[in-house]
Amino acid sequence: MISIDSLSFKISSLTKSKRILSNINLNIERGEAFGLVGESGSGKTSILKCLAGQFQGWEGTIHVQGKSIAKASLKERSNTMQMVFQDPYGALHPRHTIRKILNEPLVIKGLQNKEERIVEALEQVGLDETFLSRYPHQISGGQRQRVAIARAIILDPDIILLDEPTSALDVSVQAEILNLLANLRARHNLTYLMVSHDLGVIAHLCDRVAVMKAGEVVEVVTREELMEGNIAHPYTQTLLQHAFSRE
Amino acid sequence: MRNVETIKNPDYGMGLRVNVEPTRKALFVKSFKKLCKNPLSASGVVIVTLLLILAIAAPLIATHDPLQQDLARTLSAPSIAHWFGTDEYGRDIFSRIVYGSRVTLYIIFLVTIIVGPIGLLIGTMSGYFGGWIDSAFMRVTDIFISFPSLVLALAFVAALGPGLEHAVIAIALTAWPPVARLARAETLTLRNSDYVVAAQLQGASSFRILFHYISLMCLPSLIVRLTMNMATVILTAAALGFLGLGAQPPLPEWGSMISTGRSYMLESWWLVAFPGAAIMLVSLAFNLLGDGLRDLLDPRTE
Amino acid sequence: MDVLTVEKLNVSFRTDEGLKHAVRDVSFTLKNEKLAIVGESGSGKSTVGKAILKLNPSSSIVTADKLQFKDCNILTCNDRQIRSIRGQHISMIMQDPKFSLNPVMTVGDQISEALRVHQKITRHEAKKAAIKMLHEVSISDPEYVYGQYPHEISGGMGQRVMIAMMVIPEPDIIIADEPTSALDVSVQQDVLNILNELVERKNISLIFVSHDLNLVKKFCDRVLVMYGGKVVESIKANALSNATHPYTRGLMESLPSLKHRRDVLPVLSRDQQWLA
Repeated sequence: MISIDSLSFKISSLTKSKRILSNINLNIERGEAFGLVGESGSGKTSILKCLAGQFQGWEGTIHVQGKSIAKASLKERSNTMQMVFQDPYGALHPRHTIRKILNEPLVIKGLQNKEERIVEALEQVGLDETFLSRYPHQISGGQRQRVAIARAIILDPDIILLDEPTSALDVSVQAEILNLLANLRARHNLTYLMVSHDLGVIAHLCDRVAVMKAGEVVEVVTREELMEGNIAHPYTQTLLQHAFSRE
Repeated sequence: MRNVETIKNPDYGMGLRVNVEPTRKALFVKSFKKLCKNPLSASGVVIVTLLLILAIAAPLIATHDPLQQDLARTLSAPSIAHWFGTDEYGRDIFSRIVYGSRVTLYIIFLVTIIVGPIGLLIGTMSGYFGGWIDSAFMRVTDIFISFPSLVLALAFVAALGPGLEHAVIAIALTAWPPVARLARAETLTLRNSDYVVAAQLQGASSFRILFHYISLMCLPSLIVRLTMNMATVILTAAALGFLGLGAQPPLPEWGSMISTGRSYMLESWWLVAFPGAAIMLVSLAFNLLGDGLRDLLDPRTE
Repeated sequence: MDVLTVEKLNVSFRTDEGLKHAVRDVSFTLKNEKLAIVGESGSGKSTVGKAILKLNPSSSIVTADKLQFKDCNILTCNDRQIRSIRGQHISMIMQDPKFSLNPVMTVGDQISEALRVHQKITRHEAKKAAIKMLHEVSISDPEYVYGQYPHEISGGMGQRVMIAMMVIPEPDIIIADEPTSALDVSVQQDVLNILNELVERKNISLIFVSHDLNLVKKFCDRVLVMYGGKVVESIKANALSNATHPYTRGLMESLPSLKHRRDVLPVLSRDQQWLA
């Protein structure tokens, strides 16, 4: 579904250039939930940004559904990929109603039956029609994240990029959102690429995990290997130890 | 818009507060009340409202025809018949000030609807696209800003010839750069926000993002800026009128009234005092209103 | 000995929609221990921490039957007294060091200035002491960090600097409001260890405000669980796994676990009764 080959990326200014990603190789199958885990500055979000077209000028190749995305416009990418952001406050336009937020992608794509699609998408994420006329500041953080997820699925994408989708939420709300994401994936056969700093969250949702450190993937492990502690790289072991010791 | 009284809060039932959806009207009323709480901005609202009433109902309020000359009663002091006295042609000053509010509002209105959209468009495009578009637009803006606005306006009117419309164009030309700069600064902070990125990922065109996402967020600060700008516009218009380059006689314009009254100022103070007071009061009112709006609309001041 | 006694603390905020009750009838006593206040956003946990130091915004109304710090009644303190309490007896560590440190002053200068406020020492001595403090919070190259500006150091480093500054006056109580939630997991542990070590060595009582049940289970002695402004459960930290209140249980269970993965996470169902 997504294959990333020797992806490198550096940000250069006049005085210095900083390597963000170096030689990333990843292969994500259709229908898989793939996790990227690492500490802040490890480059995990940068991979999402390269995929989503927020970063230009990376080196290497990225193929999505067999097609290189190097030349693909954002409009072409939007048919296959959507994104859910970390901050439920910043991800929704503060002066758009929920209806407008969900209507926008449909208008952009020129789709028909807008009202039905909007209501259906809202139902998918467990909200009802009464939310349509509200503004983001009138609903809670969890509800906002649900709306953001509804916006991501309303165009029927194959891939959803999840950038720390629950780290700004309370644990009880996090559980709801994680359940919702698992549910949606099963129902629509979605492929997830999820970034998180929380191994517990990643291991809950993802089948495979790439552990990142300083712009490199140190190891790709499956959930089972992770839960059994059956891992090779010392860095992964340290991360895992921290996660285990917290439970 | 639908008005929903209560809803169940599926995941945040702290029971601390039930969301009651305010309608647009209720929101407006609430903001208006908040605006009027501060005595300064409330006085701004009152004076601007009075100005609007004055302009709309000028024929009903004015006691005389503002152009009607009465050479028998030139330069008469304020009295019951002529509340603010008469000028050198015996025209009633009160009536002229009342009708003059129309001219003032006409200039403010035209300048604002020219400057607002131009500033917004240039500013947001600069900020959003960056690169050479930004450089080009901002250099032009710099050029306009580097001249004192009155001098620039004078130059334009001198080139175009005196007249009310030309004064409007000249003032608009000098007033848009600060607005564009403001819009650009706002856009720079907005263009990397998550909701703009989300819109890009949905394939929204740049045009769509500029108009449906960014402009909407620039509007509050722009409205504040434009309101504050109105005070400057009034002063510039009066200055142009005073120099004989704005509204042409016999049209009652406050600036030109002061200009003609100047020669009789020492013996007939009312010729200058009343139009002067009108200019001061109105430009002060717009400043106060702008301050009030800023407290209301700008989230950063909270 | 009770360092701090809080009885029936109530805090409400004046908003456009009327009074909003953020903290309701919270009572607890703090001994020489590490007390955690845990809850979700909006539960009023931070408000309690701030109310103790009278740091709430002016739009708030704070009432209590008793708010006693040692032999001083905080409720009746005037501004000058409360300032001296804030400076010398009760310190506060905030979530993000970026906002608590002065951005235009080097880290070291800030520490030595804080030292010079509390002790009569020369500039040179203060610098020496500051470097020693940085060393105490396990900063490996104190001389170098001394000359750095807050934006030049990492979050974990910043939080260590904050801790160093906060223990300077040798306070009786430190209130730490989510001191580690902005940090990476591995750094979190280090910072907590440092905090723990200092608190125990210098005999400081700690009020640890957090949303992270797992963390306080390991770190604190006693836990107050807050929900909707009320304390719904007060429990020994090591007994947290056997908590009785459905809210506490629900919070514990809704965490995804590495050891025992469940396909569907249990979702907390809230009960209006909890607020009664």
